[in-house]
Amino acid sequence: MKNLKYIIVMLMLVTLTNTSCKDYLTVEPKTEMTQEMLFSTEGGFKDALTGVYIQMKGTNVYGRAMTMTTIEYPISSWDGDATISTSVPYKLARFNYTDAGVENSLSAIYGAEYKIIASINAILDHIDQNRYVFKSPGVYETIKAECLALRAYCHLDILRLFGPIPTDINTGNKLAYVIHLSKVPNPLLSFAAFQEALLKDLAEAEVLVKDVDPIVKNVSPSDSYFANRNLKMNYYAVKALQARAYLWFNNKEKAYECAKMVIDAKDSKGNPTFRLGMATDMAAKDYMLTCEHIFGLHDFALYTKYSSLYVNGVLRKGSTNAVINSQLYGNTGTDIREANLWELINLPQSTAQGYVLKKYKVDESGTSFKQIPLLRISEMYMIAIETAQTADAQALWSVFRTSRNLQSTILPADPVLLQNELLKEYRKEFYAEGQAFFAYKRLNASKANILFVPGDATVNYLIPMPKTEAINLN
Amino acid sequence: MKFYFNSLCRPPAGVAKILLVMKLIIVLLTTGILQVSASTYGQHVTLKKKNATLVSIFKEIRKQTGYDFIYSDRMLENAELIDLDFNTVPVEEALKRAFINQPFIYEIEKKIIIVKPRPVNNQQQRVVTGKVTDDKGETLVGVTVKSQKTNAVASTDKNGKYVIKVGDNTDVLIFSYLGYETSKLPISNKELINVQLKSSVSELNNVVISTGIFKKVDQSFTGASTTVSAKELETFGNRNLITSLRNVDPSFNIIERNSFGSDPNRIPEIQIRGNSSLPNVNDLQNESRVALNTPLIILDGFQSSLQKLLDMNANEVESLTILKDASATAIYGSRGANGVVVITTKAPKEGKLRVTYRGDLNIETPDLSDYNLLHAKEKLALENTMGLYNGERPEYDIPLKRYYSFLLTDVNSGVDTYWLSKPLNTGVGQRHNLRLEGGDRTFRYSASMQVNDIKGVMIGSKRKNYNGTINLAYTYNKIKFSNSLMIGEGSSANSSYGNFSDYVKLNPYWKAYDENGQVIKLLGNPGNTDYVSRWSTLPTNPLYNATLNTFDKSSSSEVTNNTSVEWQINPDLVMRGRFGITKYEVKNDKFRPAEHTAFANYGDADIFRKGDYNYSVGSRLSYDGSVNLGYSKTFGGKHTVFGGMDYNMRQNQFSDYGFLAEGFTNSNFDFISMAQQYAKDGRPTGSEGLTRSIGVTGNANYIYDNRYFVDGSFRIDGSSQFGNNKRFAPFWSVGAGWNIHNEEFFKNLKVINRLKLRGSVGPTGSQNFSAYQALSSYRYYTDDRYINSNGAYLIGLGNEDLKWQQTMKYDVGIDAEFLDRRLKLTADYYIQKTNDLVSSVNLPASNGFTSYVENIGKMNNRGFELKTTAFFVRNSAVTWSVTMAMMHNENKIVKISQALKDAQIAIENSTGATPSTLFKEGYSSNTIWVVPSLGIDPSTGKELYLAKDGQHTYTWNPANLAAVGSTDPKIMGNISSMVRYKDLSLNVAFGYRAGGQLYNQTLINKVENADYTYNVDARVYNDRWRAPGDIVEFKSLMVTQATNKTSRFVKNENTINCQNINLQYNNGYLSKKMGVEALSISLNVADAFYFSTVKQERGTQYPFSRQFSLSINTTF
Repeated sequence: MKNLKYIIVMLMLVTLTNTSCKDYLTVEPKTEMTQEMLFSTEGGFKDALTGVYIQMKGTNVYGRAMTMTTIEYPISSWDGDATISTSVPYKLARFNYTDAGVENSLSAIYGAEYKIIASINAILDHIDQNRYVFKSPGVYETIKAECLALRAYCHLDILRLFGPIPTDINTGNKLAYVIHLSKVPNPLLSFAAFQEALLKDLAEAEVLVKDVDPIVKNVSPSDSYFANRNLKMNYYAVKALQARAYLWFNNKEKAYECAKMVIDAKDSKGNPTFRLGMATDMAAKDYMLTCEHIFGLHDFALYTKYSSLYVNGVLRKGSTNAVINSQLYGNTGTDIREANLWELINLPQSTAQGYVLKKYKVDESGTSFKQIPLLRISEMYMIAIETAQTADAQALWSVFRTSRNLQSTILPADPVLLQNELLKEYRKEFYAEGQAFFAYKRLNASKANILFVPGDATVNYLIPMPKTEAINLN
Repeated sequence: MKFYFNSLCRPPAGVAKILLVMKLIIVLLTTGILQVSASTYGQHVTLKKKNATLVSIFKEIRKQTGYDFIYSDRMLENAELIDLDFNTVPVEEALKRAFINQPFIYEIEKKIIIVKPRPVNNQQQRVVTGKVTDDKGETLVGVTVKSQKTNAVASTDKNGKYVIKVGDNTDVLIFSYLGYETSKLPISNKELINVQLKSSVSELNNVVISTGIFKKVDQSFTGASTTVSAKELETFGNRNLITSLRNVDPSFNIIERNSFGSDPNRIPEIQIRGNSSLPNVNDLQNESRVALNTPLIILDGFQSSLQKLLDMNANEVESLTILKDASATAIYGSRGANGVVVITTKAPKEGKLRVTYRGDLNIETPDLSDYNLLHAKEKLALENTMGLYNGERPEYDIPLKRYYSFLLTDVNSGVDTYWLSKPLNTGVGQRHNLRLEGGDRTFRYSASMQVNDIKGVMIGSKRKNYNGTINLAYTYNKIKFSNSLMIGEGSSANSSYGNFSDYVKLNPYWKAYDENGQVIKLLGNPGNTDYVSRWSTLPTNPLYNATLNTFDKSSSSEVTNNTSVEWQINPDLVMRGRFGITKYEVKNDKFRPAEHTAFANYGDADIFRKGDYNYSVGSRLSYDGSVNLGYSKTFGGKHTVFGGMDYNMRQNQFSDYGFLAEGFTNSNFDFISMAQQYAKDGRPTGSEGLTRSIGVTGNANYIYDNRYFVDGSFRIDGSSQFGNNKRFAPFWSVGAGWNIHNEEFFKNLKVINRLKLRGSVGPTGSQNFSAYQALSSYRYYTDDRYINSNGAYLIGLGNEDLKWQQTMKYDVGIDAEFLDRRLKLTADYYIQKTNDLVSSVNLPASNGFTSYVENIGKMNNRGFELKTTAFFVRNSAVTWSVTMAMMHNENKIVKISQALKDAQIAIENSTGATPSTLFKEGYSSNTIWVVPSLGIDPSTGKELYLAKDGQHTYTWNPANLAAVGSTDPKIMGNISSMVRYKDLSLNVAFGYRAGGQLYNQTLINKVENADYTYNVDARVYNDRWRAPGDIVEFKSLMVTQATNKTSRFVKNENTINCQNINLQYNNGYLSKKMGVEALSISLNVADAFYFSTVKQERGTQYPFSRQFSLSINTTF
């Protein structure tokens, strides 16, 4: 009898202690979701990727700093604040990277880019081991490819901004190519190793979606998830990014091949998938030329952005047409950009006037044209023209000039002169899109070739490593 | 040792029976074989033996007669030694003689003699009664009385009486009681046996320390703890349990916040032996750091809250125990680092229905003795001197002069408003408590109800609690079942008069009311615009808002049910199961109508946004279950062991949310649905959390001869708050002690009655950090989307290796009593090293996140505690004792993370009059960081600062910040004196602090940086620099640039505070006359006075108060 009591007691204790403690101690927050929980469904992966796109249109990256403001300041795209000697735009226009304000705005970009990469890596760290959760065809491939390519996209911009000038890859910062989310600091890679990692991601992405992406198959997808492919990192965007990357890495052949492939892409009716915009598009108030977007970010708040940055003249260039019409476009009178993209406004609380850009002008309601371009077909033309054989280049040049309602000209045979001609075109074409600075940097353009550069500026394309990277760790 | 061995190996009853049967079989078989030769033996026996054992007699008889014996060895243990001397007597005769006086009988069956225990004769059942007292003659309740023969057990009732069934005259009664020497008395032929039990060592040893999980005898406890009885709590204060506890033991330290004064709705910040946690980067500036060092509160074995300790019915408390060192707190593992407060509530006592009533009348009066403000005449004169009524040009000057004469006329007509008294009143609160209890041994019950109505000194500030408790206890055989249900309903309101500081600053020359007694909305209104150069808009009268229908109130309800089942498996082994569940709900409502001055600046566009209503609700549900096994046993008189095992499981779930609605155009419609809309750009706010934990605790204690003892605990704790990879945390402690007074060589020393040395070491943890800190979690965007999809983003980088904060505690202590226990002393020295402080760690930006949470910081606390009590007079009529407690704690931050350092840079560089809390390695977390000052330069009236490089400078530079003093006092403690004359007793308790520093906020805010437009401290007038050569403390009146934090305002703080005075009349003549069982009347004064070397305004947002109370306590 007495033994029985002991046995009962022991059994009770053992049973209690044996209840699965680990499960009991795993709790799920209500306002949040653990990684494990989120990545246990296909929808979770989609939501995480949507989160990445939302972050990409953040103000520290492509929603502002990497398209309209910070990245445009070193090439003096705007007056406004840039005329105040204590302001960040003024200092950036003079390549004064040691200023605390400049340092902050640049490290904000650096941090935000890597944060996007961290979000992408969180997805990629789970996507293969949780592949079984993907039930719909093509979703796994597109999500993974989009992640890989977006990772490359962000890394390329970090490299272009903070890395060496491609003509001298041994001078300048080494940077981290981050492929896992972790708290272990990442090694800083040489230019070559960085290039290799980046191209590997793009190659992998390309293979994944080559036959899956609806934009390639030219079918209208039944799954609404596959709608609006040009607002996602699609197959052609991967190719276009390859073109951009190869050009940066000075692999002209590959750059041409990729750019040409995108230019030649045809839809089911045999029309170009991405066509150059024309006067009719501008007339339809599509200043953004959305038909050219291989990949653009949809931004439903673009009207607010336009109101706060352009309508009130915060971002403006020149107070008369002398600056834009003459210096930028050369008074062609026909260029659709010259004719449509700028307007003279009365500055608020001032008697002065200013020229503001209408590229981002959209209606308040509706979703039309609310896109921020990240990869455009016109850039592919630029790349192809720079890298093609003379005859092909001339042909492409003519097509491009025509679309802009300009007389075609003969391209200079000298590569340097050709590049200088193209630099002017980058400046006109990608105003407030963030690509012009990179074009100057890639070619290590001299001060004389940089439009609007202040007289007292000393050109310096090598942006120092943000202090937030080299912080004092514990 | 033999006894020890035998009792361990004693087979249980069932097994013994089986063994007996087996023996029998073997014996039968053997006898069968032996039968053949049996007849050859004779039937007579010859024996001659002295002091022989029965067994040897049996052997002899068998040898001589061939008779076999059947008996059990155990039975024969009780056999008496016998002397036998006979020649050739028959076997029967020999046996008869041998069995005289033996507790056995025998039967002869064929040639086998079976020995049996002597049956108890029922008809002769004897009963013995008596009374048990201690060596002073006080009755002892619950003494265990056991009969050696019959094994009957009884215990003494509340009058110390017992009744027990006994065996024959040879029976012995064993009286045992915890803390007393066990007494064995033969009953012989007596029917009444009164016993006086001798205290085993000293009266202190009766003390049982409730650790909340296991009960420990103080005599052999290696831990540092303080147990406060209900009686002590009563004489040390009447405000709430928290202040009473502080008044008894200064190591339970309430961190005084000057701004909150005696606000009854403010939950104080508590620390036991210094702070062991630091806030993380995001919490540097907010209030959440207050909660980091809160000790663990255990109510009847279950985790409770500080709020509960504040609000619970103090009359239900039996005792409070503060556990401090590793030996005492290691059983709480990851929760014990901040110390533990164990509340034990009263269990129902048996007896016929008893009713206890206690009523209190509490009167609170504001203590404004530290305010020293200018009167109307002086203030206006000061303003005039400062040139506030001079204009540069005539068009400004003339109206200003007119305005001045308007004010002067008022002053001359006698206007000198004492604004301080306007929002204050004498708070008259009351508390009533009714307790019923009774029952018999098997079923006992108690029920109590309390209403506690606390009225603060700010008009309308109050706190009201209704508490109800029902306790049931049921004993069935060896199972004790008890259930306690506690229901609390609380409501509280903050004063509609707003902040006290708003009144302190008002100019005394302003009238508060007009001729009709109506509140004047705009102060100092001359009825024209003469004032415009003085005030762009006239200040509003804060009294005006109080006339409006505004409220800021909250109500809460809490239901707690604790069930406990105790099973005495055998005399040494107890199993206890407990389950507790608590549900708490709170609701806050805050309403301000459109007329409120807060909306005065709203433009026309926002006219319908005036008036707002802030609503929030919160709830918490927690459960806690445990199974507990306790074993204790004394062997061979000298060895006592105790072993305990506890398995515990807890869950705590909480959530709160709230929202703001605005647009209440009519102040009569104060219901939330009358709002025009939700707050502009507003969104509901809220938080939620779920934590779970599991703990297994083991504890073992060995005592040798009441002299040497060792103690060991082990706990494994699992918590959902820990990282995935560190879910389980081990904690342990070892302690040892030596009762020197029990040593032979000490026993003859009359001077020293008790001398106990003890020491312990072990780690404990704390987990007062955010519930989900260890997780890598996603949150969904609530304000953004992509195309038509909602997205999720990663909040932070989780740390799967995150673990509990660990505090290594070392403690050595001594407990001593001298001179016939007239002098008692307890002293402790401790070191507490906190490792693995949870803090943010920097990451390179390329990792995507700039920081993650890691266990990185280190902090030390070391100090001593000393408590002595001296009985100067101690006889039956008069007792006078003085108790002094002193403690010293030194806090030092050893290591903090770089991220925390970086986060502090901005705080460090900030200007301002108030020094910020800064955490720096090598310094106390309570260090005052200011720029060292050399004083006011007599020639210029400007302040001279001392720069880091030793230069003197007029420029204040945050780079020169230095550690100038610390708010940690060198020593602090209590002194109390208790005088008892017959039924009257007086207890006076003081608190003191010495050797620390304080930053005198009044001097800088109200004198140095005084805003002359409002009222200022009187010292502005007298002590400021006016002319070259003045050697003064404060800079020139004319230097208007604000002074930043400087060492000039760091003052040495030496403070003495009369915490409590209690006069009590107890029982005696009056209760006899009134025919009640007990009656006591007491008068109590809390916070009677306060002296400090730092002259500063105390209680800025809410004044401090004195409390006078009258209590009547009666039982019938």
